[in-house]
Amino acid sequence: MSAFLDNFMFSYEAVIFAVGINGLLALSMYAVLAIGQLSLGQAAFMGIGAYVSALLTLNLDWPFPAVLLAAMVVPAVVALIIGGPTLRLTGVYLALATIAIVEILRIFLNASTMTGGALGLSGIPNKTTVLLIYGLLAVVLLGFVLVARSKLGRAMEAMREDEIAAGVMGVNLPAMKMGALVVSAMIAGLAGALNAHANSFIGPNDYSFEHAVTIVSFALLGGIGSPFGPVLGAAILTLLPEFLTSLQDYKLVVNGFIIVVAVLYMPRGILTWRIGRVG
Amino acid sequence: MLAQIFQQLPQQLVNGSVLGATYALFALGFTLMFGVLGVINLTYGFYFTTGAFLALYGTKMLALPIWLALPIAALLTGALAVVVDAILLTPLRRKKAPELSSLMVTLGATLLLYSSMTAFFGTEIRRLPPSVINHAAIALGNARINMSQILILAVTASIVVVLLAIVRYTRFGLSMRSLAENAEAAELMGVNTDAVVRLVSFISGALGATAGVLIGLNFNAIQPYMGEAMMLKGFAVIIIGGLGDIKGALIAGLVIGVLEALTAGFISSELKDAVAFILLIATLWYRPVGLFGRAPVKRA
Amino acid sequence: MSASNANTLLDVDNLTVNFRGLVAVDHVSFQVDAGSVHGLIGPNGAGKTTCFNLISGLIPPTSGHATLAGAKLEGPSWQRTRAGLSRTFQNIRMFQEMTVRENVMTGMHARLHATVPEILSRLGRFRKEETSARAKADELIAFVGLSASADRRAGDLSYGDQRRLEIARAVASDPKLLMLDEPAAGMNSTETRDLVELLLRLKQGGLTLLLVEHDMHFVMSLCDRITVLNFGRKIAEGTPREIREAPAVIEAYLGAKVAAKLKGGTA
Repeated sequence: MSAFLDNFMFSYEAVIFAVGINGLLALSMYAVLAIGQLSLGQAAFMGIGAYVSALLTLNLDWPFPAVLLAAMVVPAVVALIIGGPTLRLTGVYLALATIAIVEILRIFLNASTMTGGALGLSGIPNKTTVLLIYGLLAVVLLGFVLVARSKLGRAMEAMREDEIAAGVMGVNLPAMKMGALVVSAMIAGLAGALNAHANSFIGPNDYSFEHAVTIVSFALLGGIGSPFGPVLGAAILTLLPEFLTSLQDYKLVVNGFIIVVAVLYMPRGILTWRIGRVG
Repeated sequence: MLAQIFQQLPQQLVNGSVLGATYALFALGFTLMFGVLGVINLTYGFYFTTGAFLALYGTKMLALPIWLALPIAALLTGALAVVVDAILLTPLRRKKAPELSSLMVTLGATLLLYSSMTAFFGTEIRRLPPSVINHAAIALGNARINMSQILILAVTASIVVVLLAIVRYTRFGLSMRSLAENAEAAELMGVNTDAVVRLVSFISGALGATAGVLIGLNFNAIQPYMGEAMMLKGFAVIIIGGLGDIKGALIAGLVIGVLEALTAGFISSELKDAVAFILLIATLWYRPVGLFGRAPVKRA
Repeated sequence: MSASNANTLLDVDNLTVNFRGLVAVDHVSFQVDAGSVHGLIGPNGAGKTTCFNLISGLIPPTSGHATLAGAKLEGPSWQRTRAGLSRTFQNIRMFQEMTVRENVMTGMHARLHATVPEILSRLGRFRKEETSARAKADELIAFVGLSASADRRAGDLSYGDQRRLEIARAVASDPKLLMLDEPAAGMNSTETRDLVELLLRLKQGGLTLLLVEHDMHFVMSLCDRITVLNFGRKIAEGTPREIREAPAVIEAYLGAKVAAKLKGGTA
């Protein structure tokens, strides 16, 4: 009986973890979408965070807070490297360059012995707790709400609506874009580290193009009128296959369908409420 | 050691050129779509897969010869591309939605199409009947080249020539160029933009399918996700060559192909796939407009 | 070469731009006096909007430059806004999803200095700055007569109201020079009259205006000086009276119209 309960708790806990971590990933996507850019590198930033954190824990035995910090800093540096050239160009370049990052990471992880090659890394100690995930999710969410209700929030929405007009308002476009990409990479890296220390195993194929697209679908389903939309979208798309198990095989079909419908017919997502931009 | 390298070099160059020609062939339709329609259409990779599957069906089930299966696959896939454009992109064009909307809608569609196809066909690798093409190789000094490789080189070369001629010297080419410059102005000047959009989608789809059939023939491995792997290389080719640049795509494709073959031959086959992406990042840093490109102008 | 003097606010010096061999703006020079209303007119395709885009930094010039209050205008548009330049667009570029008040507050972006830590902590100058920005925005909204719509979605306003909102948004950055690209386009005569009155009030407040406009009556009644462009070149400059009588202008500008009328008459 107790074994059954443990089992039940175990799978139940995994879903709770997943909802929170996907919520963070959705917010990392929101950071970029909110200024009218599209990054397909969220899966790569997540993967970098996951591997950096796992290696630091396994090999150097760093304390967990320091590990989490490193898992945010390293993706941020990668974001600076790809953001530098691409953010000066039209949005298409960022999207394509971030796809390239996903691919380079996959090739590197498969080839490198340090990261365990195709086998990945296992035996990562479980250090993530439900409280930690949701605490961090709440902190990040609050941060986005505070930013939204300020001159930065106004500048972000202005950029998404009309970048040229936003520039004429005096919005420092390159700085805003770089800031958004770096913040987005940090949140995704954090999510990756939390996930690695919740699952005990990570492999190179966990951070694929499909995963990157799935993160986009979280944000588009929820809507990006406020930071709450993407979190809601992530929760729905994470829980839906759990309840409708027949959906599990068609998860990617559903995610793809959601993106198409959202862009064409529901550009505001399901949470259409728009957050005010005055502090 | 050195002697060995010299002995292998011709073969690596042949392999690299063929590989590069396939990249170029694939990227042509992709870059044409961007150049004229101004959108990155991510469903393009799916046309590659579709072409290969249609040729597989034609040769296996209907016992068609490859010279018939190839054009039929190209025509059908071209028609599919027109339909996909009409469903996904035409509404956004009407609404004058931002360019990222079209990127996102095709992103979703790509996931939808591939995963539906996988649900239907599975991911196992399928092969064309061995009889479709003569696999005997011809010796060229130290190197060997087979029929499907010659076919790829010949088809790529002729398509590039025809495409450049169409763009430069025909009325349709003029319409394409004016649409690429400014859709509204083109419309005012009497260009039937809807018709040009459809024709460009059709040609691109047909080119993608042609690449799929020929590459399926050369590697003799066909499965749903083949288009996605190719697509990633396609990004690299069109950015290095310059978005919308036909000649650039050809040269960038060849450069990547040869460098990949040399990397695989002399350094490490695991790093082969990284070549394109490292070149891509380097291009973005040092020459974001591509090899011969003009500055990518934002449409204000 | 340049005729600038102590009272010059904007000095445009030999501004030139080529688009693929076509010279859209060809060595154009003119000066705008501080406190004046300066008109930039010319037939369609004369290069007026291109001139605006060059001055505001939306497109880079092939050669030449502009200075504002003695400082060279350089870099992208957002830097020029910080230097005291502001503008509106020919086809209104409203942030449609945002409210009227948010639009005007976005116009103040360059004047707000709260840092990210201050925004996240709601400490330091954040609260004071945001409160005064809101108050100033409401003042500007009242000034253009949109107080009743302050919380409405900007995209839901009528065309004339969007034009007024765009002016309020442009003024919000406290510019030295306000550039208006066809502010009266698409307005009916009542709206145009209100607009003239609004712009005169801005002038009385000490703001310098540079405007592109097709409505001749509007231009002649409002402007202190006028520069006329044709095919990218400056063909005349002077007071409204001088411009009305300049032969080059009649030939290039009104002449085209007269010719068209004659053609219409014989058909």
